[in-house]
Amino acid sequence: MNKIHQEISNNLYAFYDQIALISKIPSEIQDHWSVIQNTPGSWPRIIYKITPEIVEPGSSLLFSEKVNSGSYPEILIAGDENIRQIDPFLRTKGFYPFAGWKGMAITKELWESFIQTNKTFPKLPNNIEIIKTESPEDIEQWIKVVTSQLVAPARLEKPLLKSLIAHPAFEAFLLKHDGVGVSTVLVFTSEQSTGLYLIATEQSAQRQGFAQLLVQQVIYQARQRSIHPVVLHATPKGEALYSKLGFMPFNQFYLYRSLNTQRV
Amino acid sequence: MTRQEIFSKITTIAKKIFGEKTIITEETASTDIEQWDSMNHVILISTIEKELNVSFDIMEVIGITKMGDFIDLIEKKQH
Repeated sequence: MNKIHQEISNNLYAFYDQIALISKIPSEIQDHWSVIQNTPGSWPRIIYKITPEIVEPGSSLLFSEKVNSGSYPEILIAGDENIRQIDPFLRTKGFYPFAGWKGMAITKELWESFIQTNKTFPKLPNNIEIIKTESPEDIEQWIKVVTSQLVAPARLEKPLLKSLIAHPAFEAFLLKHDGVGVSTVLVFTSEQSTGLYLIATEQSAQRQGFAQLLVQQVIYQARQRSIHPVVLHATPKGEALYSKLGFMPFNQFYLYRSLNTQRV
Repeated sequence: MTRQEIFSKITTIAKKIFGEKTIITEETASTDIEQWDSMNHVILISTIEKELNVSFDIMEVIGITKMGDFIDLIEKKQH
């Protein structure tokens, strides 16, 4: 696996590690998978690191024991390394794929070429401002946008989002249109990359280019500060937008759900 | 199976999962049905696999966004 593929995965895994750490959610790191466990109703219980070695007898047995104990997650994220070997194994354990994320990155070289092609960097119109979310009012607006756009908003509880915003590993940015927060991004900087998460736009403000402006500004700032790549994990809906901003797809993540866990 | 027969079988399965009153067409997408969440998505896929005796590849599964996608895939597998 080449370096950029690895970094896109590492940023995602480090992001979840941080979440577990910050919110004091019980987590368990095995050689071939990592788990965030939580009480029903909050952050989804999730297995977020799956390596191909999980299919080996010893690991497989331990994994089965954990899954069968009933305490283990309903969502699982696998990278594309040996997915054809991992997929049948996961299905025998009751996990089915339901979605895919594209691992995308903008490296130093890609950014330079993007800047070369798009000579002018868009200036923000007067009625738009991008701020680092710090004041209680802005934090409220940021959380409102994020929770309104997530598939299961109840699961990302306010206290957790507040803890993330306050933590030095994260920076939350908010794009305001006429003084009202409409687009969000959470920036997570790990050792070798900058990851963009929770990119969301209020329903009524979608398709007006706000997310594009916000992400572009954030990339610009990240590039000023570091030579490391900016990475994200795009849903099929977001892929076209990020390609337009100079991101290139490098790998794929597969999301699985357990048929055996109850809805929470 | 003809396209119509596949559609009919999938509609029956989908109505069982999403509710009998749900309107299903080939263009019905996950965004059109409130109950079409990730959990029901995997139930839909696994039930179609079982009842129509087909198996979807991982790459095929992540490309499914509407009912017609299931029919296209099953038709392709018949040939």
